[in-house]
Amino acid sequence: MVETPETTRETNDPRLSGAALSTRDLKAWFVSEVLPLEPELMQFLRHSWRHAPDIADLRQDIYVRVFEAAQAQIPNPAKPFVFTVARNLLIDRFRRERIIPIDGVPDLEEIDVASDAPLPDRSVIARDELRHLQAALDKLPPRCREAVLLRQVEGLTRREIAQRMGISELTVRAHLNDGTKLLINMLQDHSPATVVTP
Amino acid sequence: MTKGNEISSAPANANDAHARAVDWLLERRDSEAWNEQDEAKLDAWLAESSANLIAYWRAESGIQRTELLSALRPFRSQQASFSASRGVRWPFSKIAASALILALLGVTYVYFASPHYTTYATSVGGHKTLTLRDGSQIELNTNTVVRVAVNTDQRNVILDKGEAYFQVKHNPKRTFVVNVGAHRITDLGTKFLVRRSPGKVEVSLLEGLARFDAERETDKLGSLTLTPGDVAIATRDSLFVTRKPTAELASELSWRQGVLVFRHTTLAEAAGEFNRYNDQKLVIDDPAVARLEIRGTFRTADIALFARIARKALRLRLANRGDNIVITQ
Repeated sequence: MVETPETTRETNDPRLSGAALSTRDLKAWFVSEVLPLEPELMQFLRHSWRHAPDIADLRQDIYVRVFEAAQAQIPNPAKPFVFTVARNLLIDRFRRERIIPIDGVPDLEEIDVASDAPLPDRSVIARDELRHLQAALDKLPPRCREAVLLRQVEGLTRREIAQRMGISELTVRAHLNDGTKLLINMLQDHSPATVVTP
Repeated sequence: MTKGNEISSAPANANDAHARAVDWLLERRDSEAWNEQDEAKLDAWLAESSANLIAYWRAESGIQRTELLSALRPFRSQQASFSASRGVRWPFSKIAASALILALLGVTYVYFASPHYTTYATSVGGHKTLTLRDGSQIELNTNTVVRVAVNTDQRNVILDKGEAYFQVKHNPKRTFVVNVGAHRITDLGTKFLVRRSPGKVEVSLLEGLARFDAERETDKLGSLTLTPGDVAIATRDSLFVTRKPTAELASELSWRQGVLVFRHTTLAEAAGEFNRYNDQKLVIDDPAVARLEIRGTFRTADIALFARIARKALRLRLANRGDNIVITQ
């Protein structure tokens, strides 16, 4: 396989040694089957849970539960499992918080987790992805965007970016960090409305 | 920030985990000082909680998706007569700029003392500009061979293989003729692109006029006067002309800036283009994959990056076969 050496990393989590599945398999499954569900999952969470600042934590908890269950056995297909976990987690939370959602819980029951619409044409996906990436980029603060573009598109180093932008390397690092954090959230979630500034 | 913990059973706040994950990833990617101790610290952080591990995977896959950004690289077309590679516009006068850029490109200045043909060639991935004494320029693309002979009443070029862009200083007393196999292109004050591939010659006219005489082994195939936007294609026994919008012609010249521009290009065609510029080749055996359409701008040398992007954006698989990259469903 052709891989990006700089961003690819195999994790050796000691807790997983001896398990039937290697971390590598788990990761491959998680990245290809679970993460692509994030836009739908976030839409579901936003719809069901009114307190927006909690959403990222809810997402994280769902991922952790899914991941820990998958260590024993990988659920196949992933989608109904992920949404079942999401629903159970929300029900737990509603109980604990003693919140009765104004819209009621019916949404949770009605969500059609089994439906698996056929994937759109692949060239459409690619175009959509590019458009989405461009849109996400346009939402970054200008200096962040400039730094990210110089790094990702022009392939410059921190030092070169610092020279080009007339700022210190530390500032470049901060811009790249901020820009990348925002970009990842926008990309994974696919919905710019939930951009969370750390 | 502890507020998150009241509603979350996870040890860490999700935004904090995300921020830390990005810190680690970028530090590992960008820092020149990254070492084994850092690696160990990262391992320890990942082992701390499933939340950390997942935040890291999520951030990593997000960063990989931004690789598509290189396809957004703006392509500056030829309208400005000289723009350097990497898209930097030079704020100098045209003359100073051309001199500088020719120097940067490692240009061979050609002085013709004899009417004999001199051979110039580029290797795979190569790019070279020849400047004749009269100011005419011949720009050779990858894997190209030309022979040039200039005397007092004629300027003759033979394109043996590959692709070349001609910017001719017109002189009615000194014709400028490009020979490609049996075919002949005669300048009438012009800029044109000639590409020779097995069994096919393609002439695109960008400015001015040129005459194209297409020949078979024994007789004449046809003769055409080309105007800007015309693309003449001669095969072994046919000759036809299509017209292309200026923007599309400009992207056919993007190799002059070291990039490939694809608009509604099939994966097979894109792979073919990359293969012209690289010793490493892309192989697509599956016709369904070959037909997929793409769009984007890439450096001619970025063949592996292109393959990775195809994998991610089009959900394809990559495998190595020898030095080559095989793309499959």
